[in-house]
Amino acid sequence: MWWLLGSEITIFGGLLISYIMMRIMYAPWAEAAAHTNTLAGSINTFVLLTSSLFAVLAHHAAEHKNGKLAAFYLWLTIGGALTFLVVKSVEWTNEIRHGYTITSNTFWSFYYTAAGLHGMHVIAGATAMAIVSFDCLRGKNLQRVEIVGIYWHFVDIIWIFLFPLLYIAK
Amino acid sequence: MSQAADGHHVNTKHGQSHGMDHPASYYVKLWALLLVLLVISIAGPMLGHKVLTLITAFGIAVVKALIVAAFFMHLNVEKRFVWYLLVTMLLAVLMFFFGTAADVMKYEGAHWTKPSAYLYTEEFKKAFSGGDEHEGHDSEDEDSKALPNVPYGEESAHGATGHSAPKAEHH
Repeated sequence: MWWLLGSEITIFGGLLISYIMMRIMYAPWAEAAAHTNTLAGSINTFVLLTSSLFAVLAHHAAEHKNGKLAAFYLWLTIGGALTFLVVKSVEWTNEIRHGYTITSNTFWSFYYTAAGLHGMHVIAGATAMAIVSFDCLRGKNLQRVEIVGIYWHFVDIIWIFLFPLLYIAK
Repeated sequence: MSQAADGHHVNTKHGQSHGMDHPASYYVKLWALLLVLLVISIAGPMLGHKVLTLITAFGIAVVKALIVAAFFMHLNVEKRFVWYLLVTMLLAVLMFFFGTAADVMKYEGAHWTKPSAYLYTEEFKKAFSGGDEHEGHDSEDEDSKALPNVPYGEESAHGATGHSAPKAEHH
């Protein structure tokens, strides 16, 4: 898992560094960023931080050999992932309806690429947790709870950095 | 290996240290701390002070990320090689920055200019609004003088890093 996360650091790190350079260089990027929805970003940050709590509690339960409780917390974490995606869908729908699409300009291209790539990681994490949760119910492979948890916390950390870049610094 | 709250040692298959000695309430407290930091990071930039925005938005993002990494991912008790691996990857990102910043973050060099980027400088805007203040740079710069005819923010033939006027205001 750590090797995978190492590669993910370069993927998202490259993306974020590129964004920072362009944002510093081109004033229109700041103007465009003023149109992102801070409320939606804040809600999603709250949702991901809370889902990270559920993920670590699932790990805690698995360490104590409580598979059913671990599965319960994993499903709460998946609930967080689904909530995140619903908020993101509403946010994107609103933006697209107002004419801010992936082809509007390079800021919006970056916005949809970065948030979309992150969203795909959310879907992947939720899918992995769902698979692991079924084993947990049978008390099998409880060590996998920690592995999917580490992945989920990483997805959370990426969002922690995307949030100020896309929604806060205006 | 970690020790469970009930006093039993709990092993997982790979036998790593997981830092799971704490009760569940320990993580709830960390989560509460993260939420407090989230509120500060949202409220800080509302004051409109640039330095305060940088500290509250980005400084706190780093603190939040470190809390999640150290205590939720348990990097605080993880093997040393994991740290080396992650730091190496971060250094690779830094290398990418230093490799590209010299190009991306400059408008012109000794033998080149970037008209599309220059379009957004104050100097350029002044030159075309005031007329004579602008000192031409070279032949490519002459080329850039045609750019103000391009609707502000639209992608130009010069590959401008553009900004298109929004069709409607929202948020």
